[in-house]
Amino acid sequence: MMGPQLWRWREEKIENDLFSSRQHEQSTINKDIEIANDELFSKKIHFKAIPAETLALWDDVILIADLYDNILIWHGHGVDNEKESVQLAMNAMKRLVADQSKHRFPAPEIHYLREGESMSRKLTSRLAPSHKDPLEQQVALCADLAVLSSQQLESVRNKCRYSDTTGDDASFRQWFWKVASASAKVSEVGRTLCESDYS
Amino acid sequence: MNFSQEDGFRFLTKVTTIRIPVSDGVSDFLSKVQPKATAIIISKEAVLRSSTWVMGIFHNNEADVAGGTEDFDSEAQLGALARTDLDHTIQRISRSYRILAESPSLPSNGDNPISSFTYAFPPNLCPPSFLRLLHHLRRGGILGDGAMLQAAPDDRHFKRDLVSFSLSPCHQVSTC
Repeated sequence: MMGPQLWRWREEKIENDLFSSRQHEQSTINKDIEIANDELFSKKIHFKAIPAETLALWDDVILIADLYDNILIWHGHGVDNEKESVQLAMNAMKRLVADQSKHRFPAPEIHYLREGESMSRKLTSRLAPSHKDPLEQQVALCADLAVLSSQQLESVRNKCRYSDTTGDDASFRQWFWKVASASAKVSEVGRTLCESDYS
Repeated sequence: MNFSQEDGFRFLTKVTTIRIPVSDGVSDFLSKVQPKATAIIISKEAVLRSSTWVMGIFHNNEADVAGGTEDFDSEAQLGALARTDLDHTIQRISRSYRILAESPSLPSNGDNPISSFTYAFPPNLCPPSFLRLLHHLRRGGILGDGAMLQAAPDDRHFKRDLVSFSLSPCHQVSTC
């Protein structure tokens, strides 16, 4: 709940890429999930755990975002809902979501969102704004971007440009290096959270 | 400590504190730190500092809450202070690590990709996942408005109450 947990579903031909989960085991707290296919039991549907950043909003993916009190299922505009593989994945997602939320009280609200809808801000506002970083940093922190074509990459990077008007929302990288630099002002103000005042 | 009851009966309590060694040394202790648990403990403290009311218990300035109209302002200010405290904590961890390990040993095998985080933050805390959690906490609306300009106060209280549970459900909350 402290941070949204994101899983990505994408057409299999691309998901079995060179970039295994090695990079992501370090950058996410959730893990990849595999769910049995309704029709072909030998074939599993794979949901990849990814960091909750705006760079996850690819055109041709379905994302599951677990915010604990809300569960969002987001479709990129390149996903064809009529397609059989997409429908199978959706069925698997519904089972996954029901399974994850069965012990929660109050039960989370489940929202189905499509890219471009106004309600998809529920998801985009919770994602860290990594689209602000320079390209080389984006690829270093999110190695999966390398499987996208240059056109797709450009589309992903430009997707959230509109939100750049407020300057106070730093991306993860901007925030960390601003805070951790030796000359950071916060070293003089503030009290450490490691020492509690309360008894 | 000296206690007296209503019927006049008084009794004296002595408290003895014993230090129990939990590890062989600093490096051994650090190697056993769990990133997720640490993130949750830090965020629980931040949530306590950011709010005047959590799970039916008042914190910080009770007088401000009783005042009524100033309630909202003080919550916003406390949230801003808690965010500063969070930054301060990260800064201190990073600074202590840089002083402690002037030349951090590079990972010898290929399992850990070397990044600039290796030099700036303790690898035991698994910087990407640990810091990402705190970054989301910082901008997610629990600690005041932050980057989320439209976080509803009701949602914020609900989430604060969840974070202030004891550690084990809290761990489940953040990992499920």
